[in-house]
Amino acid sequence: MFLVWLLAVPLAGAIATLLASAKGAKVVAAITSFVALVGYAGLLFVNRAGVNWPWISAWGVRFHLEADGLGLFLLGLNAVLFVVAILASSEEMGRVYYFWLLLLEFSVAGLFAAVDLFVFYVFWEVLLIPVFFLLTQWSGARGKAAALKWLIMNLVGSFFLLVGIVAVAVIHHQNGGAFTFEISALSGMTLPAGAATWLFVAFLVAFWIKAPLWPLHGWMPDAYGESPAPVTALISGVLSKAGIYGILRVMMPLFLPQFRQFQLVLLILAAIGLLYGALAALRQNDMKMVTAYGSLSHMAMMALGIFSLTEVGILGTTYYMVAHGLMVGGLFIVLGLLESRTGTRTIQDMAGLNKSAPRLAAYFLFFVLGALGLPGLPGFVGEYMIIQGLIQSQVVFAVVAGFVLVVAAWYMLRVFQAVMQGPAKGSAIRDLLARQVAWLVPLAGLVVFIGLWPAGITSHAAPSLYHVTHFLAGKGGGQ
Amino acid sequence: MNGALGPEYMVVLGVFASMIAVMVSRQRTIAAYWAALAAVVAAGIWTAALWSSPALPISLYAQGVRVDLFSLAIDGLVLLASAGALLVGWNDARYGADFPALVLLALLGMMVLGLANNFLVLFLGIELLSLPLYVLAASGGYAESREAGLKYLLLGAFSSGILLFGLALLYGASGTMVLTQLANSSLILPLAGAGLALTVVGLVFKLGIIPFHMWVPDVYEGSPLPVTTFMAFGTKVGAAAILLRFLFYGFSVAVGWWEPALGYLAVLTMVAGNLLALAQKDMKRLLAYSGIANAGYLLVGISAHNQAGARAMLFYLLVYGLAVLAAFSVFTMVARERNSVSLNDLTGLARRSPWLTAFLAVAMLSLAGIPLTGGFVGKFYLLQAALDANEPGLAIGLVVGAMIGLAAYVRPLQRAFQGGDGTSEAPVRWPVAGAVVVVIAVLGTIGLGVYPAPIVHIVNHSAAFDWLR
Amino acid sequence: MIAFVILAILALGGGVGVVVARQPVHSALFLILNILALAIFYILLSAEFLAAAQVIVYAGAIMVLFLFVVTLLTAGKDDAEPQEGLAGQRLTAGILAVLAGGGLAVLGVLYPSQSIPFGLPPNFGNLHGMGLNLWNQDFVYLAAVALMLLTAAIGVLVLNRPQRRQHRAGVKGEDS
Repeated sequence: MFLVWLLAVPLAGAIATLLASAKGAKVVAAITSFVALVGYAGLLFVNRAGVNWPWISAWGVRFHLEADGLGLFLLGLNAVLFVVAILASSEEMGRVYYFWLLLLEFSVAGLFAAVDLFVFYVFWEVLLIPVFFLLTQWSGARGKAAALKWLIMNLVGSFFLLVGIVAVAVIHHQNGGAFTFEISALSGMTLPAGAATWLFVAFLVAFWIKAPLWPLHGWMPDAYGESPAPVTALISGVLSKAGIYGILRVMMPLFLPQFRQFQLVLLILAAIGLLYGALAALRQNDMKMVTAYGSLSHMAMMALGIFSLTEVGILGTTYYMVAHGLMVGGLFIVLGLLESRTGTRTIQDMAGLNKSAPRLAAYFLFFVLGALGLPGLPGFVGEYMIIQGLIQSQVVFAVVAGFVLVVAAWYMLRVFQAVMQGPAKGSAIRDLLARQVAWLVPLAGLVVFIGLWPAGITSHAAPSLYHVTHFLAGKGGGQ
Repeated sequence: MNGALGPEYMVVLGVFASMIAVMVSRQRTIAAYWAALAAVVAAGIWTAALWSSPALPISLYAQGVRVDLFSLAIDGLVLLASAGALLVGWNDARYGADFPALVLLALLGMMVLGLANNFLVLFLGIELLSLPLYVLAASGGYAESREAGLKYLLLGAFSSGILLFGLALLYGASGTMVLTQLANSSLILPLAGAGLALTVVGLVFKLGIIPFHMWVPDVYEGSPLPVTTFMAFGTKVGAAAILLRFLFYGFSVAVGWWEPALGYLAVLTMVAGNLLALAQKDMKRLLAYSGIANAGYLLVGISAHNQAGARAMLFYLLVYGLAVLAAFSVFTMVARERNSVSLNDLTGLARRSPWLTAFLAVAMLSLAGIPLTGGFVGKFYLLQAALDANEPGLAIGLVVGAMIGLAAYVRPLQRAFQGGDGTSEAPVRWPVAGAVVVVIAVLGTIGLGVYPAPIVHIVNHSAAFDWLR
Repeated sequence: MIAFVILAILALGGGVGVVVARQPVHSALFLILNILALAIFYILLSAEFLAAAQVIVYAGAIMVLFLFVVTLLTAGKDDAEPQEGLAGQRLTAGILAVLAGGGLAVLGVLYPSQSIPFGLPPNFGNLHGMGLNLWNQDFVYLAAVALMLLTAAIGVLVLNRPQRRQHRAGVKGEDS
């Protein structure tokens, strides 16, 4: 029932924001997201909470949600980041802004809990709409174009995903099985050889675009560049995980043979993306875009972890998803605070800000160090596990990943150094306000916590990946 | 005959009642509208009462007319369409006192199309549907409306000629008028093929399938808004229903003759219709091309030629109709005394009337096929049908069309959420009748998206064509 | 067969004449030729009622209407051809017509004289059979046609609405 809470509270809150006064909408939204977070805390004490209601029985569609180890912590990431993003948003945004934010929280929560393909697809596509409107109305000059790009690129992917989903269900039915969209029931089914490759590509493209991974990241620079900081934090911190999560949740059970078959191609593509993101980040002068391309590179790192097709690599990815979401979300929000104070995002226009805003500089440094993978912080653990997985499968890619870690340190520190250190340029800025510190502290604390205790996540995730990892280890499996 | 044609009788009574109401008091046309609405409601209640009748299916007039769950479902759809059209044009002096009577006459034609099991009834239904619509299209009284009426009349008469020729050839080739009595063995070959081709062309013309779509945009654009609403929903239901009857009941005996052709037409229509919609600035033209594209989706259900296809088509008709009702009633409110809405008129609508914009958004997103609206479930159903029939080409065509269409539907929304130019900041006025339509249509659209199971159930019963896969 | 050929030539000639004739009155007269030829065809096919109806309705009523309209509208006007809207329209139409006719002829040759294997119903084509059908089992169709005529009547009312009312409506729509 905590799962229903996690869905129902944001939905009810979304409607409540519409009824609230223009100024009160933020308060309503903040309370809602906090109540949802409390519900999530309850979820942690339940073992594999789930709901399984009939929905469209004629098609075997069930409203089946489950918080297993794979989705549990992403649900947490969702709940936490939305609290932070709403608190970090301005009251001036108006009620519709908060309405869309809460609707987004609702759909993402549904996505991370769905274990029925129909339900998964519904939430997958619904979440495009709030982001579309957030980009249309509350973003920079080219926001409208960015919104259209976001919507159309993602829908191109998801329409093929839709065909893929229906095709999988129909094939399962024609093979003599029941007509169902349940992932667990469909997993391990035998697909006709010709169709399998096409279906594999159809699914993969959708997830590839959403992540985004090179070369299908066309929507990313615009969307990240134009959106307000809290929205960027959500897109990059939470939504991008949906792509990787989809590969893990949906594709792994269905397409293991195809992953084996195309492993090398996938690894090469991901590695190119890894390098591309890192090198592009190095060339940016806009501190938000540095982070954006850095994030692109990190997504490729997660993809590498999955495509290593080793237990440790996949576990590393599940862990890294949560860690990266928290850190990059925090980083984008800190950047947003910085931008609102200086009025610019260009690195060259800023210098020595740590003099006037030491607390802001400290949090900035914290999230930068997290993003570049400092040991002790969670980025390091995830990257370590992924590289270990790569060593087990394809050593070459481990070397590439290691090289990129160095580049990551370079581009992240370059920003920090330019912006915060050196002689002060321009007028002094205001430091963090107490109420901003109030939510940055818990966020940073959470990051440190999961960095110090990664087993808290991996030990939960491992059983959920049992089927996959078991199969990979060659101990039978399948069905 | 135990009241099997009750709904039709109610509509005929309604025609007379609304005409008499006009005669009695020339000044207060409202009585005519109430009479028509009452007839529609009565017919709806009768339809619902017939639904659980154990006597179904009932064949009347030497099997010329067949009342079954399919015809009742079509009845329900077209009654909804006409109720929507009546309310959208509720007592608007521009459309004159005869508007309700004509709507009811066209409604009768659509209902007859749902019942038809005989070439003659088929043709009568098509004509009964078309004649009032020719008049309605021209009833605006301004130049574009007359042009639309004339265009519709000429092209419609042309297609009726083709249809009639085809039916005559079919009668000659088979010796029977009754659809269910067609048998493969007794068909005389080239004659039957030519008859089938001509008949299908005639029917597909009414549905607005590319390349027989030329009349659709002009007629939609020129006709008064409530008439366009009625045409978009009602005509589509009638034409799709009779095409399904004709092909599934009659020409199930020779599937290979028409299935591939309709499949190609469906893909062409879905892709080209949406592409053409992309370039439109006028909302009525946009919805006209969207209507063409949606006719293509309906054709997917027909050319899949299985039970799922028929069901998906019925379901999609409802979904499409609700979205169109919502969109057109919003446009009618925005247009007020004018008769068209352009992209520019929508600019800043979100600031002027946020709720109206929200309703429009739901309608547009449903047409685009976004989940939690009925449009998604409808497309999903059609995809299932196409893939179940092992026709991946149809499925791909459907999603490619939907993808292109999305951009077309999203553009008006972006405009609506844009800041206005300050010329017209007054909120849009809500006529009560129009508000009823838009609220019901939007609730229905969302309801179908969130919990479609009851309608799926109804549709499954209605299109239980056991002789198909 | 001889009758058929003669009638066919007459009917086709009449049809071509309708299109080719310069004077609208001549077109109308050619149409009468075509209609009368068809009427005799119907008699040959033992559809006497249809033949009679053809003569009375088409050659009688409708042709008179045509002639009235033609004489009223074109009296005293010069018979110069108006400018063609699309260049080569006539040529294209002619080619298409020839192709269609040729196609039909080829089909006719390929599938020669297959007779319809199911006989005619009793009283086919004469007034008695027609009446029995119309007022007996097919009465409902007659009712439908009646409704169509009703539509036409309403249509005349709607399309010839007095200008005054339209004007008022344009100024003030009274939506409630």
